[in-house]
Amino acid sequence: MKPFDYQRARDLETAAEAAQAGGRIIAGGTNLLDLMKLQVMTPERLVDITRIPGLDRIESDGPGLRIGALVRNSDLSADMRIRTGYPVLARALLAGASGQIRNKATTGGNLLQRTRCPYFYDPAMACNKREPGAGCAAIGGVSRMLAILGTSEACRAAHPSDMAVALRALEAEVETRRADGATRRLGLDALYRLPGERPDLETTLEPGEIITAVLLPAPLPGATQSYRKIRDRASYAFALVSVAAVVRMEDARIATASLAFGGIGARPWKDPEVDAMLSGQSPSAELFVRAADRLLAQAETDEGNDFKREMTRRALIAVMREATGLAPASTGTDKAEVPA
Amino acid sequence: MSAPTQDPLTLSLSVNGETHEVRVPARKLLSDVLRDDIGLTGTHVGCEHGVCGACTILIDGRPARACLTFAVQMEGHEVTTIEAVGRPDTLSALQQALHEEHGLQCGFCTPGIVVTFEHYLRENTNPTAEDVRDVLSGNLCRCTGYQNIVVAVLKAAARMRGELA
Amino acid sequence: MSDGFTEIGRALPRKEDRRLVTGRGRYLDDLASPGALHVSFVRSPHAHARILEIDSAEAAEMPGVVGVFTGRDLDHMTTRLRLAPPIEGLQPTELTTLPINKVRFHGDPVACVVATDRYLAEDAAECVTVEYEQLRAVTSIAEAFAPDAALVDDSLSSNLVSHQTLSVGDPAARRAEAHRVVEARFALHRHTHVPLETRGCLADWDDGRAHLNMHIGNQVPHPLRSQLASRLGLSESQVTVMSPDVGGAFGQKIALYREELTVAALSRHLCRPVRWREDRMENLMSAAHAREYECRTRTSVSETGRILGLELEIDEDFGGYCFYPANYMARVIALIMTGPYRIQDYAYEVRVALTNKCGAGPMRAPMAITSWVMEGTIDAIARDLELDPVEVRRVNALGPEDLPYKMPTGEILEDVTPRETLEMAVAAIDVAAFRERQTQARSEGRYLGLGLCTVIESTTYGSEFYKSAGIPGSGHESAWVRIEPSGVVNASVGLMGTGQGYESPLSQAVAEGLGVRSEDVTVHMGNTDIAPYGMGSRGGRGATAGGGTLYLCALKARERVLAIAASMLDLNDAGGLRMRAGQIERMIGDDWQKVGLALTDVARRAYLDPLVLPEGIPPGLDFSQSYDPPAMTYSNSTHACEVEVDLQTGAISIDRYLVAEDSGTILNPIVVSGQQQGAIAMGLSGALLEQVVYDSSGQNLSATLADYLVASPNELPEFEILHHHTPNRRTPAGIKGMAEGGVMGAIGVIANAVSDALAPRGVTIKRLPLTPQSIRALLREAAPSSMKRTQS
Repeated sequence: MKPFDYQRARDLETAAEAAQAGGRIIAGGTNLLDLMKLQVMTPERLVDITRIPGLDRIESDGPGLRIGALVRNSDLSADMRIRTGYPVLARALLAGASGQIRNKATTGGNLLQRTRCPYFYDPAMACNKREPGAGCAAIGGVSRMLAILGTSEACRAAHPSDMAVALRALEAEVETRRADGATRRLGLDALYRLPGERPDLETTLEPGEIITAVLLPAPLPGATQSYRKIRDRASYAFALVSVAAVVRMEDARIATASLAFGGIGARPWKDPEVDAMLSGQSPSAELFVRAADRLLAQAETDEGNDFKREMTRRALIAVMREATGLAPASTGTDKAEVPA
Repeated sequence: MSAPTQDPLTLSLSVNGETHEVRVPARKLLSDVLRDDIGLTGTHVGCEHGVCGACTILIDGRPARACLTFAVQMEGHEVTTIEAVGRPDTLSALQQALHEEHGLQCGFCTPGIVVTFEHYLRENTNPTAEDVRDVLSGNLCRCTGYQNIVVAVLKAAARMRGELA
Repeated sequence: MSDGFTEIGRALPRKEDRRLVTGRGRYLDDLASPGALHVSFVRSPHAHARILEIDSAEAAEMPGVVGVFTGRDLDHMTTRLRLAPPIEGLQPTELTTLPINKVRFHGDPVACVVATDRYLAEDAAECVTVEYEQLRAVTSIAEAFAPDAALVDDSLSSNLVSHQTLSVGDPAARRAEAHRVVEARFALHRHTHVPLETRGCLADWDDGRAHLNMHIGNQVPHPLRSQLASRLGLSESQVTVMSPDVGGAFGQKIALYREELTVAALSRHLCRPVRWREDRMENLMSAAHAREYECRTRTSVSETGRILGLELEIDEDFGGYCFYPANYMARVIALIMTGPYRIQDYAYEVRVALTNKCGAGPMRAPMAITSWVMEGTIDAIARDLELDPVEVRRVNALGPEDLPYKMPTGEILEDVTPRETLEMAVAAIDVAAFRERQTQARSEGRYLGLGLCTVIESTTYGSEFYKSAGIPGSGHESAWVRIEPSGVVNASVGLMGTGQGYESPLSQAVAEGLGVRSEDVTVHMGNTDIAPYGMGSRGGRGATAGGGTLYLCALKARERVLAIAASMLDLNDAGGLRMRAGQIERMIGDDWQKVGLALTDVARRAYLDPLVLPEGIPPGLDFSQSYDPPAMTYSNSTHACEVEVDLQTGAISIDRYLVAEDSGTILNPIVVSGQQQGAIAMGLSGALLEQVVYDSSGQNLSATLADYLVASPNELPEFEILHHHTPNRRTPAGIKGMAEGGVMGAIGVIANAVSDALAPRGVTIKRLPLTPQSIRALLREAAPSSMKRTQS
């Protein structure tokens, strides 16, 4: 690990100044430390924001909730307001990491964690995200953990966060403080960039801009929330595919559906067309298949990750069946859901 | 920005109720400071990436990975290590149960498991086997296949509830 | 246990535990060594490349750096490792301590930086620049054997480093007369051991005495010392190997690795203590890998499924270097393949390939694939002939009437019970009831499967095995037992535990032989100045070779103790005496009665009053013994497992797992059950999750524990263990050895269970691991039409 200077920020102003001058913000550090050990990231100055008061609270925000950026993942998942009003978030957090990690990882840090792409993790290999213009060794390489949506010729890395997937389904926003002291709110779609030609630029945050909170809208009354994650091992494995869903039924029809996906996208993935397609419809296997087709229409896969199409399709169908109360297919599950 | 300094910082760390002054560079990990500078070698380093759980310690009473923590960030926090739990001649209920039920083999992962469950059993007095497996999923063990660890944790819980001698 | 033992067979909790559960164990990195220097290795980023230039000037000037050393430097300080045992078809190989001209895998060490601090050593290692000329990488067996393949080892004429064949009986004739010839394929993937404690060492050269103290977590301290001394040009008197508590090994801590030799040489060169602790990435990339095989069987069978002849081909991917003779692991697979079945017409061909990957070595059950191949072949026969797989096993299984049974390779099976454990497992899991549940589930679109796997586990490996295999080395073991003047008992043996928990069971072997309580025995291991020269821990030999030798040594001690006791009691001989729990007892009438004489009294006389000892009895109570066990001993077991496969996700859940096992006389049932559970867990973890992944350019993509997945408790079932007990008549106390068979059985049984579950979908498992995506891929291949709609 490279040496660095350490600075303890007492307030957001000093943190912002230090960050604008090139300092790297550290809170729980669970992802940053790992990347620093591997020298994937080599900051020369760390700005510790954990002592800044006021960022570790979960507060009412009108009918919704305001989650401070320093709220620990474990506190967030255990909070009764979250567990009752936003169970999809609690479940995504619990699926995300071990208790020991959740006790340190923060809300803001979780949103800004870097990809788990093995080529990003190995400084010996070419990676445009780590070093713009270096090329991408993942293309043509082992692609099991790579994204299939939103990728570019420069980068195929998948976003690793479970929490962010739930937040997208919940239509959450983030609140930030810019270097000049102004605050702004932006949706996660506006926060995360697609890789395009500059996969190193992952968010739209400006230099010195710091996430101060996540804002949850009021829970949708009567909606079913679910989170399903498929991975290779129960603990400390990143999602092959995950689905977060917030679905409200009305008179046996899907009144609204908000779906988000992890493991498959260059960013926590949401397709408004898929949500629109489902809304107002009667639940049926055929409808879910069409929704999955829409979701995956732009997917780019290779031999190493084409299983994710089928896995995503099935995860979407399973989650929607559960959320809408549509009985699981009783026989020949496979065939019923995949008409020829 | 000028090149980062290699000079050590003087830190005051509270570990197992005692205050230790150490001089270490900012980049030194808590696990290394505990082991090299304070001499508490029961906290083991198994993966350095937060996966295996061998380095589990308590920070302000809650389990965390010492290998994913800079010591410098721990000023003002209370750190608890395996050395604060039982001694060879006075095992805790959990340690005694691990001994009786053969819940360890090479023992390298064991301090992390003990620290994790000493905390867990304080807050969860009557867990199921499934609960225990779930919490244990943050600690890798290569030797036992986990079965006897689960049995031992349940036995310790029963003893702590006073249901078992 | 019914053999009249009082100490052997006791469920005695482990003596090691108290220090380990409290964090007071002393593992390598816990040893303090003030002033020790730290090393960091510069490793190759390429799978195969020529080393053109190493520039260490910048690194050498960095803070705290004492020196940077390359393969050329080390070549002056050490001798090369030449492996050229006289084995037909095995190519001789030679390797330097660090590579000089080229690197052969991603992670190959090319230089060693020594500094005053680990962080500084790592900083400097990054500033060593190596200029490479990249070469084409060989990353699979097929590529290795291709006619235009790049050469991994430039001194050889091809990548085929070892090639052996054998034919016994007339398999071709059996094929001609067979009702059917059934072919089956099995590909096992690359694993690595993942001990929770990585490798490392602390070398401390004492320049005044010209003596090296080498602290290193290792399974075989004495053979390691011999090798270390020889490669440093020292005598064995100049080297002491000390193995502290070891955080797991599983076969990874047998060889003297290049890094360890480098550290030792540099300690001597610099006259300073030097230490190294490997990080996890190094461990996963460059310690040792294992198990990468492709096997094919061709079986000639009768209408009833009786096997008339078996032909086997094994190809092994051995990686870039030979730290062991390249025939070493595959040979055992071929040797014991026929295992639990009556087969006399048998042929094999074994080919071992060098590739640009980390070198292979033995990993807990080096012959792990054997049972999957044999039992998967049995299931293939059942499928082909539409017979019940249990019946095919019954028709072929060895029963008591067949024993002792000479396998076609000449190995003798005796005191084994494969048919009995099969029936125990079949009854316990209730195959008939399962088939009903399976039928019902299938009608609901759920896929349940039942697997069976009978294992013949080779254990112990006496020196006769080594001799017939052509491998230099021996399988004998040595021990000493010393009763101290106070009557306490010390003992030692050349084994070294790495988590097995030897201290209790070996104490029990001593206690049983001598007639004391196990609690009063202390067994010392791991220090070559203390322990007698033994062959260490490997191949399930701890109980038979270690426990057996200690037991024999303790019997010798008992004889002397009783002789002295007899003289103290004024008896002519010790015929009517015995010792129990350290008290001398005499047969009076039909009863054993205490006579008021204890071991402490005997010891005091032996040490402090030797002049009154009977004539011919020397002073003191100090005994040594060596023992060469049979060429091989065998344990056996049958594993049975029920699974459900979720076609939607490809996920496998294990609904029930049981094993009926016959490990002969058990020294300590607590330790044995722990070994059984741990071995099964390792097998399942490997079959379901673990995989070393290299891409086509030879880049290792599984270098963290987030990429190389080891099972967590949520992936593993509860294990039910049924015991069968057949002592081996040729070993002391009837001990057989165990601890590897669980791996063999687990791999075979899970593969067979998943094949059974997916049979209606036309899927047979031919390749591991069984990850969700590999299951999905198999389902798609079997039913390609169902995927059409998803192709965009």
